[in-house]
Amino acid sequence: MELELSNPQPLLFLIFAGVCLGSSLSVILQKNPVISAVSLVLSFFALAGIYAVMNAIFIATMQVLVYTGAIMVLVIFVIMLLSLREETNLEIWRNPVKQVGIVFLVVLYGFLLMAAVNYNPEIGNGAPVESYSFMIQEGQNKGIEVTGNTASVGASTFLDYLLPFELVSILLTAAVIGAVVIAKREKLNNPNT
Amino acid sequence: MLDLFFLVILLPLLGFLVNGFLYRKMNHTLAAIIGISAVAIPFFITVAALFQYDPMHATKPYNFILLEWIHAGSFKVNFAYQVDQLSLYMTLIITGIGSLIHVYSMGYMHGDAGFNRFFVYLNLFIFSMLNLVLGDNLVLMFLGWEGVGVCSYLLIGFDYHKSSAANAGMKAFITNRIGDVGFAVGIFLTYWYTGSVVYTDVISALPNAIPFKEIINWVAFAFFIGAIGKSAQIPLYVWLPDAMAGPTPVSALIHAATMVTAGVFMIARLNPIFMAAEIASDYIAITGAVTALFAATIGLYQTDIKKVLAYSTVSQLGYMFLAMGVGAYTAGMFHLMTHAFFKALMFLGSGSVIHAMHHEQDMRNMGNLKNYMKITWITFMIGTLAIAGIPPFSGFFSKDLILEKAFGHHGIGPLLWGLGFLGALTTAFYMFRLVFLTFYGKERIDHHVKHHLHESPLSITFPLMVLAIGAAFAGLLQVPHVLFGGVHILDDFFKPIFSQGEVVVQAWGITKEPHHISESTEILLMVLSVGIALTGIILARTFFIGKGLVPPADEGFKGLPKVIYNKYFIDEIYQAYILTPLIEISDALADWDKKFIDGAVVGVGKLFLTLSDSFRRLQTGVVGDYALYIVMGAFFVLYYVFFKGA
Amino acid sequence: MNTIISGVPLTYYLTLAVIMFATGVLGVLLRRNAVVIFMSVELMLNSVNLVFISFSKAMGNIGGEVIVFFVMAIAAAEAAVGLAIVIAIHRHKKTVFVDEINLLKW
Repeated sequence: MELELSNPQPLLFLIFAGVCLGSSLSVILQKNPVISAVSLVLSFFALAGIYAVMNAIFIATMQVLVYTGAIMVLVIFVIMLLSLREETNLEIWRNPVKQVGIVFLVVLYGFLLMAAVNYNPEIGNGAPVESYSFMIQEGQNKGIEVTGNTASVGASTFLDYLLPFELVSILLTAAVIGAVVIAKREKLNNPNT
Repeated sequence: MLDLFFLVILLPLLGFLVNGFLYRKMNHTLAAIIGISAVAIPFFITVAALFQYDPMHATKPYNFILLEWIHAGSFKVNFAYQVDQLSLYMTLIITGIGSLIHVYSMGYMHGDAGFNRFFVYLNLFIFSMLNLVLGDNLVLMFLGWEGVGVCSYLLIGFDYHKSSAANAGMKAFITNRIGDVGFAVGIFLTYWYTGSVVYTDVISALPNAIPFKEIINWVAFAFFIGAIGKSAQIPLYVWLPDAMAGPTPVSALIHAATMVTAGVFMIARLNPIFMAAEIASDYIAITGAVTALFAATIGLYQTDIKKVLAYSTVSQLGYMFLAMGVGAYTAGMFHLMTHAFFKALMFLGSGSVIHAMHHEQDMRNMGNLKNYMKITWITFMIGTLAIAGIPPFSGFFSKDLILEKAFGHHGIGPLLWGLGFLGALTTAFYMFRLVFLTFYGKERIDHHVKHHLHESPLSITFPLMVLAIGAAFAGLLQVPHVLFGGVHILDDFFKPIFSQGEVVVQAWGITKEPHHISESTEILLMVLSVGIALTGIILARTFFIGKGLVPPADEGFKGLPKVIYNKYFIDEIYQAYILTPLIEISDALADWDKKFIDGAVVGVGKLFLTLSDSFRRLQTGVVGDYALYIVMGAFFVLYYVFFKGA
Repeated sequence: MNTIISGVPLTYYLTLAVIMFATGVLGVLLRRNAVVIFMSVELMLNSVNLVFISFSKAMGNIGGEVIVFFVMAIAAAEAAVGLAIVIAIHRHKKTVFVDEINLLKW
């Protein structure tokens, strides 16, 4: 446990981690779905903070923009649209299958925890400021070098990982089309819809 | 002609196939012609082949292969045939008498609904019988053996609507099969100890097969059990009298001339084994002699004309086995041929009588038929004289030869002779009883039948005449030395065959006591035979012509005659003490099978039903449960990777 | 490989991710409301994102952050489709509780 709390970063990490944990538990334990949604938003913000502490600025920004700004908004729309009511009671302990599931979960958690805690990599140097370099043509001294987190991520996406990028765009198109088709209203023959 | 000998096998098969596939639509005459030529043409081929083969001088058989059959590793059995003196002899009898009976059937079965079918079965029978006698290996003989058994079943039960005929067919087949177990055991033992089933290989291997020599009596006994079944000896003779339910040509062909003689033929073919098996041969001789007398006594009181002839067949087969048992193989084969002639003649003659009398078979309703059916009467008389053993008819020479050889046999020879002698007396008596009751005496014929009573057509009487010639003169092939120097054609004919046995006997160091009876004894025996036959005839004449005795109605039999008339109640004894316990055991086993084995099979099905019933509860339809299954599966994979490595 | 990222050891990040992930799985298994289940899935995805970022920083490889970028895009797509399905089911069965959607029950 070597946290130098004199520096701001470890302290910030602890705060953000605590908030994140608390709100995650709140997500699953709240009966009211709206409160669940709001606590999830809170945990996303905390996570973004953690990313910032880690100096992954681009991702932190993306987290706030995409997750909280788009996905959670969509979720809250759906909750409001469907007028979801509170769950009557938490039926965790009634179903024996679910009891077994909980046991398995605890063990799973323990396993993952073991892996995380026993992790002992070698110590090396990490670059505090990120940089990224890409050789357009092998052999010749024609390359692209960028520095800075956002620039590195952008350059890597469009140079090394161009194909997955394009495929993701196709995937998004398909998802949008699918969502529209699934949620479409029926033909207006039936006046009750 | 020997090149064309394969036609002898193929033509009956072809006749069977052609008639068999087309019998529903085929014109009756055409079917009959196909059937007859399928047997007659082979007869002529055989006669020609006989001259070409020159049996009096040939020492080696002529072999040919029709078709490769079984090739399993080193075990090779083919549809291969061996033409030698013995098989030619049998083939002549089978095809010759067979074609006469085919011609006879054309007339006898006229108007019968199954006319075409009859010729189908007859041709199949001839084919099987030819395979039996011409085959060059034991397996092919067994094939023919079973084939004639099947045809016997089919032909006995020809009028399958009659339950008596159907049952008789089954009885014949089942009793045969009991004997076949012995035959099969014999084949297995032979193959095991000599390494082959082909006759020539077996015989050449015998001198060196010393372990085989130790068990030779068991082997001979096993083969003899097969002969007991097929050739109706004690205790498996019970099917032959019942087999008279079949049409008369069937009785003539199968149960007189050919099928029942298969057992005798088998012993002749395997003579090396039997010559070396002294104990078994003695047993064979005793069985033959006892059967001869036993069956003859039953024939004394029978009233059905065909039953009398059936028991006389059993009796005469007994004589043949007596001959084979004492080592007089030539005498046995001689009697086989003469018996084929006169017994077929008498069966066909009785068929002529039955046909004319509109299927009346009871002798108590006949009488004085000689005035109505002259040809039948005369030919039948010739046959009866032959069977009784009156010279110069054929039966005298063959039967006398057997009795003489039996007498000269060491040890029990005279006893065997005594049994045969009494049998001869009985035979003469009951055969002439049959003749006198049927053809002589007062007419007891029914009114309606008498109106239509006339001699049978030519298709029936022609075979009778041909057979009568054979019955009369066939005996001249082997005449004892004391009579005008003797004729020894058959002795020389069979010499290459039976000398095979002598070679083996010598190689194994078995000494055989020679049969030697002095000439005076021979003449004495001959005179006694003729005398006893004449005695029987005179006795019969006294009772049935002089006193005009007629057997009483069925209820009229009392005391000992009643026992004999009911065949000593042997069938009833078999039913009570053998068949009924067997059936009860089978029923018990069937119940056990149903309970346990069927139960086990059904139980496996039920087990799976139960399993699936419990497994289907996994599919609850609740999505949350499925999510749990996903998580559990992921967990198992992770654990596996973590502990075992990727 | 640096085990200390901005003053905090790598294992701390991983522990946080683990706890978030377990929480998400618990939410999927225990909650009846379909939307809440969806939110728990998002929680799981975020924990994985955290792991990726941590290792990217620790190993000096920018590929981890790129993957997180893609994961976010995919999570958005998944949100769209998943919530459309929830809406469609609600239209038919007037409920979003997953234990009431059991037409395929044996």
